[in-house]
Amino acid sequence: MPAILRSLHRLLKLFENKNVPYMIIGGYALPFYGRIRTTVDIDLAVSIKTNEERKQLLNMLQSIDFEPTTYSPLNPVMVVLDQKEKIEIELWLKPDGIVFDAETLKRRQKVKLDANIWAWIISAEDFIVNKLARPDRGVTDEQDVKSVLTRQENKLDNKYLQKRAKEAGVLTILQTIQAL
Amino acid sequence: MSLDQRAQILEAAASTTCGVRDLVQTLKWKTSKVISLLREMNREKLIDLQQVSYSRRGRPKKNVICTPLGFEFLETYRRLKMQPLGARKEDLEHAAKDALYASRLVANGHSTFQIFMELNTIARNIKVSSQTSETI
Repeated sequence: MPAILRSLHRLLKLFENKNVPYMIIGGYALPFYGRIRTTVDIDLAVSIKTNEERKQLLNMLQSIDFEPTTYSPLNPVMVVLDQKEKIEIELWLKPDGIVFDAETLKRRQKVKLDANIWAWIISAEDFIVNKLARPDRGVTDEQDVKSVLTRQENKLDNKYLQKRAKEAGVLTILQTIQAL
Repeated sequence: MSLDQRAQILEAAASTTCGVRDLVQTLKWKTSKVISLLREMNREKLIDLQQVSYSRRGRPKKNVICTPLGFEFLETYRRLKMQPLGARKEDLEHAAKDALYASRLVANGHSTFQIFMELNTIARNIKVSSQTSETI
């Protein structure tokens, strides 16, 4: 098993055991919905709301040898380094354009990463909104969105997608990509 | 609460000193809605509610102050609103073709995640070996 999956497995097992709602977002969720392309970043969205929960999360991470390399309470992302595998994983406490509510969690998909690893990934609709809402959105992100729109054409919940895109302020750009 | 609503409140608070009543008049929303939104934004540290010393009797006035985080939010929001499409039509067509290829792989019984992992491992190894040779 590649080191990345070993590392991810330990982290996801911790989240499952401690009942921390999470979902894989970004490049590692893309092959399930859109095109296949390489990526360096492993991004996870974690539902943490209070300062107390943040402290608990930090303690939990340290208990399995994950050390935060960058962390500030106001920063939407916490980068953690797996000391065992030397793999960095980005934990998004406030993912761009995503509201971590009951509906977002209900729409997550459980997928198989390896023979023994199952994980929650972001829904296709929230994936699209998350990509478009990035402040540093680039051509690759827009291509990722187009690939998901193409591959999931008949499976997307368009009403939900439009609603979330509107809330995140990316409806116009979504419609432009859909039209092209 | 949507990003649009947060941004509208921050726009109003950042442009002039205003209280809750001023915001209600500017935004033309229900008072209860504005108060509930302000409470939430205060919890998110996007705004401060600053009590104004008041000589008259009655409920003391509170000014809505945009915090540094609020300004940062507003700036990002504006940038995002104005950020045009970066991809060309050909870029998007290329991505659509790749997506159809991935669909065909799935239809033929392949795991797109497994293929992604194989591809990613190769790319990672190339990166590591090129970094090693640079060091040597």
